Amino acid sequence: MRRRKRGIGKGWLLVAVPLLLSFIVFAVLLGPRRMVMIAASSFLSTTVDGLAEDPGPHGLRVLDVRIDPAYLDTLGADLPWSGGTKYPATLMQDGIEHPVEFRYRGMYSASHFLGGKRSFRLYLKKKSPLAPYRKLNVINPKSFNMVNNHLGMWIAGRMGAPVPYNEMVFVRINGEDHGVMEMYEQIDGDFERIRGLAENDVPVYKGDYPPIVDRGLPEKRTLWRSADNWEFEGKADRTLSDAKLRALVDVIDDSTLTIPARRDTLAQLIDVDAYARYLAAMLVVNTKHMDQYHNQWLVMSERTGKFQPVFWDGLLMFPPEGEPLYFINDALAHWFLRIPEWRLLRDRYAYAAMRDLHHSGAFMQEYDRTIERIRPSVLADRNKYGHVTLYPADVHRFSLAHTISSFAGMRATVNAYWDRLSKRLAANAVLVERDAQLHLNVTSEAPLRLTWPATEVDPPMIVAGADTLYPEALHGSWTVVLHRELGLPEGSWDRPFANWQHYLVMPMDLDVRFPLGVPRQLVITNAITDEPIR
Amino acid sequence: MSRSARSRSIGPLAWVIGLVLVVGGLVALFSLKPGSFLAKEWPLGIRASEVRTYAAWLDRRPVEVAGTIPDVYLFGGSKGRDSCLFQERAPGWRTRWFSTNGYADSVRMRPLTDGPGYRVKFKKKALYNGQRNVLLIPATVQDMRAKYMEVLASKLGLLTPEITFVHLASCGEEHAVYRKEERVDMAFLKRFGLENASLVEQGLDPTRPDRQFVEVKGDSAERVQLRGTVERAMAEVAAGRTDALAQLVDEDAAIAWLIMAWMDGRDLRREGLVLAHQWNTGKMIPIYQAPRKTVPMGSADKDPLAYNLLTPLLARRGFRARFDARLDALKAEAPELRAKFEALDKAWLPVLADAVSLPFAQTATRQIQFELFDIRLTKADAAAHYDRPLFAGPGHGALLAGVPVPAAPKPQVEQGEAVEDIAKRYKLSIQADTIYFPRGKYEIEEDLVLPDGYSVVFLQGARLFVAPDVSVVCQGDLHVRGTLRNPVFIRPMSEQEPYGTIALAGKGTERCEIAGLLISGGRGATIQGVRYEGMLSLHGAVRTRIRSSVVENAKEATAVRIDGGGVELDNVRFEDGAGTMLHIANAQGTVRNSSFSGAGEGTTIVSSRIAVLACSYTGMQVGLRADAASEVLIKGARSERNVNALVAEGLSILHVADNTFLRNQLVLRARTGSSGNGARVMLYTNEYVGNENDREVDGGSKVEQRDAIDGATLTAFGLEAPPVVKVPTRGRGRSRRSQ
Repeated sequence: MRRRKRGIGKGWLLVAVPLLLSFIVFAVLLGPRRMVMIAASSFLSTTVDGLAEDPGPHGLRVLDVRIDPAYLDTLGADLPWSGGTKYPATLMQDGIEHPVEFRYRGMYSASHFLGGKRSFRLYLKKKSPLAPYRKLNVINPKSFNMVNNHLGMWIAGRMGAPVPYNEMVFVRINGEDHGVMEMYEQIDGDFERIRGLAENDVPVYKGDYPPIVDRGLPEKRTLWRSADNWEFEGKADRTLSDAKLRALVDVIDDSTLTIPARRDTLAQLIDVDAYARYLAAMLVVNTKHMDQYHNQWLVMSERTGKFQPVFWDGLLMFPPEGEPLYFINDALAHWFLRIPEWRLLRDRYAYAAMRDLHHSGAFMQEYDRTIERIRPSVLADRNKYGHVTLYPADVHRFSLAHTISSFAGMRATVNAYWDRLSKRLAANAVLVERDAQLHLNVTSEAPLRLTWPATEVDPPMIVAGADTLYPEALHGSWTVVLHRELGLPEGSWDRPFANWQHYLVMPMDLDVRFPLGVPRQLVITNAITDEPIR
Repeated sequence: MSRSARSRSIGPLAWVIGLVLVVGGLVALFSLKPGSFLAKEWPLGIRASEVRTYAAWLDRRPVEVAGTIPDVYLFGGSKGRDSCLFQERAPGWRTRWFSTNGYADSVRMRPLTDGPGYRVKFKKKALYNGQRNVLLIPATVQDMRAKYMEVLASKLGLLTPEITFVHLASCGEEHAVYRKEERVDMAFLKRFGLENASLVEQGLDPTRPDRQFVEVKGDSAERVQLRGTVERAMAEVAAGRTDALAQLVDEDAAIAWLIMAWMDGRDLRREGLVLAHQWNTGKMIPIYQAPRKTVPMGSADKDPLAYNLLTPLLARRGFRARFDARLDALKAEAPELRAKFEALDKAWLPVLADAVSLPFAQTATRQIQFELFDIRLTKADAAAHYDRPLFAGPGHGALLAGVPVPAAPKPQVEQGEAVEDIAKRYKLSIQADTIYFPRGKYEIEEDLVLPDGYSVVFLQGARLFVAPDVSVVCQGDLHVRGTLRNPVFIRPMSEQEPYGTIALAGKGTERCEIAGLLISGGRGATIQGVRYEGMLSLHGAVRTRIRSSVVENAKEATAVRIDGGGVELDNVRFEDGAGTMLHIANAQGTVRNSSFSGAGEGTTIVSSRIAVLACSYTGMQVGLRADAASEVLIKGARSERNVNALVAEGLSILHVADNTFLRNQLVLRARTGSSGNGARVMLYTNEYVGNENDREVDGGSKVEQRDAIDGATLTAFGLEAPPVVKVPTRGRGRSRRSQ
C-alpha cells in the first residue's frame, strides 16, 4: 500500500516561524547563553513543576496575609520606588484577623521586587501569632534551593554568633499562593528584650546602604569612616552608645596606634569573643556578603556595655575570591585579624565548628531535615522566582529541577569546602630541629603551641627569633604560642578601608632559645586543633 | 456446554440483595467485633483514620453512657459592640458578660494567638471556681486524650490543670464543645499552695532565638538569679555533668513529667516546659499541661532539642533506672487505668459526640487507649525517645556575655577538705560526722555552708556573731544544746546591720533539735538559689523541735520559718519582730506555752495542721493566721490588745476553744483569701472581754458555734482525747464485786 505523501501544513508554519524568530530576536538582544538560560528555566518551570501531584500538607508555617488589592497596585505601581509606604493589612490565623502593616522592601536586590514573588515587610502588634517579633521581613529566597540564607544563619547561630530570627514559611496573599519565602527578623532596639535578656530597648546601629530619599540609589558609604554612617534603631538612650561608637570609629581610623594599644582600646569597646565567633562564622559559612558598606549591625549589650555584631544575610557559600583563610570584610576585621590572640580565638571557634557541624555530620542532618520540612511547600510553590542568569534584571520563574539540582550542588560544595578548611586549619607542615636551640620551619598556616613541664617558680624568658616571650602557667606546665606573621598579597593595599582584601600567612623559619636549653619534654602542638605535632 | 450469548439484565431485587448483603456484612463486622479489634494497627497500609471513617458509618453497636450534663458557658456581646463571640474576628481583649451555673459577671476575653480558642480572665474579686484565667479550646473526640492525660498526671503526682468539656453559647446560638483548662500562671501556683514559688518557662526548640533563656515570672532580682542558676546547670550539662541539674530539679516529678510527655505524643520542640521554682527548697517542679497538638509516633523523634532542665537527667544511670521502674509500675496499673478511662468515656463521650456518632467516638477513644496502653506503655526503652542531640539557641555563646552565672559547684569529693578548712578556720571540733561549735565566740564573716552528711552541734555557751548579710546554712542535722541559763547566742556583728539567716536545708530526713537559743538580728537571705525568708529558717527537716528559746528583733523578715515535717515548739518567746514571728508551712505538730509580742504577725500557718496550745498573743497586728487549706486548733490561748486576734482564709478550718480574748479590736476575721476560697471556723466555749468587735465573716466563709470539742478533732491534732466519763447506770441488782 502506498502512503500518500503529506506536506507540512500551513498552520505549523504559522507557529514555528514566529517561534524561531522570537528565539533569534532574543538571542540577538540577550546573547545566546542568557537566552538559553531564561528559556530553559521557563520551559522547565512550565513542564516539570506541573508533574508534582499531591505534595501533602505543608511542613512550614503558612502565613496568610490579606491586603486590599488596590494597595498592592499602588505599592507595585513604580517599583522599587513605590514600595516603601506602609498600608494596613491583616494576618489571618485560626479565623482571627490580626491587624498588621505591609510594605514592599528591598531596593538593592532585584529579586526582591522583580518577578511574581515580591519581598515584603510586616509590622505587627505586640500580641500577634508571631510575637514577640514586631517587624518581620518576608523575603523571596535568593537561591534556587531557597534555604541558602536560612542555613547560613543556622550555622552562625549554632556557632554562638548573634543572628536574627529566621524561619522558612509558605505565604498566601489574598487567598492565593505566593510560595516559599524566608521570614527574617528586622533588628531593632528590642533585640535583647526579645531574647529575654533586657527589660528595655538597647542601643542598636544599622550599617547599611544610605536610605533612599528620591528616585535613584544614593552613593555607597564606607561604614567605619564615620559614626554618622551608622543608623540608630530603637528607643534606647543613645548618649553613651554614640560616644562609644565614635571612639570605635576613631580607633579604626587611626593608623598610628600600636597593636597593643589598639587591642586594649578595642577590647573596651567591642565584645571580642562575640566578634571572634562572628568572623569564624563568616569563614565557616564562606560568605563575603557583609562588607564595608552593608549587612552590618551593632548591638550594645546592656550587661557589658560593649558592641556585639549580628550575623546578617550570611549567604552560604558566597565566597570571597581565592578562598582566603583571613578574609578582610571590613575595616574592623582589618585590625581584629592582626591581633594574634584574637585571630587564634577565631580560628579555634572555626575549627570547633568544623568538628561540631562537619565531622559529626550535624549540618548534613539539619540540611536533610530542612529539605524534608520544606519539600511539600516547594512542590506546591508554582511561583518560584529568582535570578536565572548573572544579570540582575533576569529575575524569572525557575523550576523544581533548579531547586533539586541546587540542593545537590550545595551539599557537594559545602562538603568540599569544609574538607579543605578542616585540612587547612589542622595542617602541620612543620620541620623541627633540636640542638642547643629549637629550629622551626613551618609552611602550614596554624600557629604553634610549645608546652613543657614547669620546674621553676618564675616564668622563664624564651627568645623566638627577635621576640622575647614569657610563657603562661597551665596545669603545672609552661606554655607559649608562636603566632604566625601575616602579610598582604603583592599589589594589595594595606589600608583598613580597602575592599576585598585578605591576609596571607607567611612561612615561619624561626630559632627558639630557652634559658636552660630545649626542654627534654617539650611538646609542640597545633594551637588551633591542640593536636601534637610529631 | 455453551453459555447463552443473550445479555441478561440485573433486576432491582438483585441490586437490593447485593447491597443489603454487603452493607449488612460490614455493619456486622464493625458492630459485633470488640472495639479493641477496630483500634488495632491494621496491615496493608490501612490507616487508623480510614478505619475510623468507616466505623463512623458502620459501627452501630449500642454505647453505654452516663448522663453527664456539661456546663454551658453563655457569653454576651462585648462592651460597645453587639457582635457575637463566634462572629468576632478581631484579636485583643474584649469585655463580655459571662454566665453559667451559679456565676454571672463580666469577664475579659481574647482569642488565643497560638491556636484556635479563647483565654478568659475573671475578676480578681469574683474568681470562677477559684480560677482567675482559663483557656477554652475547641474540642473533638480526640481531646479525650487530654482528659486521660490529666488523670494519668494526677496519678503520677504531677501538678496539672483540671480539664473539663463545656458548651459555649453566644447570641442564643449554642456552639461546639470546648475543652476548658485552667491557665498555668502565678494564680494557678498560688491556688495549689505554692505561694513561695516562681513560674519558669523554658523553650525546647533550639532554632528560636526568643526562647533560649528561661523566662521567669517574678521580680527582676529573681529573674536574674534564676536565669543564672539555670545557665550554670545548662553549662554543666553541655560539659557532660548533670549533678547541678539534679540538685535543681525535683527528680521524682521530672520522671513523672518525662513519662507523661512520652505518653501524650507531643512535639517537644513546640510545647516547651513549665516549671515552678520553689524558693524555700531551691527545687523546680515540672507542671504538666496536656499538649495542644500531638504528632504521630516517631515523626519528630530525631529533632534536636535545646539544652533543658529535664531530658539531660536521663543521662544519669540511676535516674534512667527509676524512669524505667516507674514506667513498669505504670504498666502494672494499666487495668485500673483502663477502667478509669472507660468511666471517663461514659461520662464525656456524650458531651463530645452526638448520639448518632457515639459508636464512632468510642472507636476513636479505643484507638487512643490502644496507642497509650498497647504501644507506648509497652514499648521497650521508652527513654530512648529523649536521646537526642542537644544544643543551645542561636547566638547563645555571645549573648551569654555579662549574664551573672554562679560558679560551678564543687565536686562532692572536695567536701571533706572543705569541712577540714572550715574547722581549722573557726577552731571547731570534728568527731566522725559531727561538727561541734564548743563554748566560745565565733565571728562569721563569710557565708558558711556546712555540707550534707555532717551534723552540726552548737554547745552551751557558743556565741555566734554574724557579719552583715552573711549566713550559716547546715545541710545535715542541726542541734542547739543550750539552756535558758546557759544559752547559745546568735547575734549580728553590728546591731544596726542585720545578718542573713541561720538555716537548715534538709531533704526530708534531717532532724532539728533546738534548746536554749537566743537569736536576734537576721533578715533572711538567698543562698545557692534557695530563699530563706526567716532569720531562723528550717526547711525540709523530718522533725523540728524548739524548746526554751528566745527569738527577738528579726529585721524586716520572718523570725522563724519552718517548712515541712513534724513541728514541736514549747516555751519559746517571740519578741519585737516587725514581720511574722513564726511561719509554719506544710507541716503538722504543736506550738505550746509560747508567747508572741510585737507589732507584726504572731503565727502564720500555711497548708499545715497545727495545734496552738496555751500561747499568748499581745499587741499584734494579727495574732494567728490560718491560710491555704490549713487546719488549726487554738486552745487555751490568751489574746490581748491585738488588731486582729484570729484570721482564717483560703479553705482553712479553724477550731477555737477555751481561749480568752481581751480588748482586741477584732477577735475573728474569716474571709475569702487570694485563692478565692473562704474559711470555716468552729467556735467552742471562749471568753470575750472588752473586744471592740467579735467577728467579721464574709460571704465565702462560715462560722459554726459548737458546744464542746470532740475527741476525733483532738486526735486529728495528735492530742489525747479527754477520758470519756461514763454515767454509771444503775443495774438491776448489785454486782458480786461490789458486794
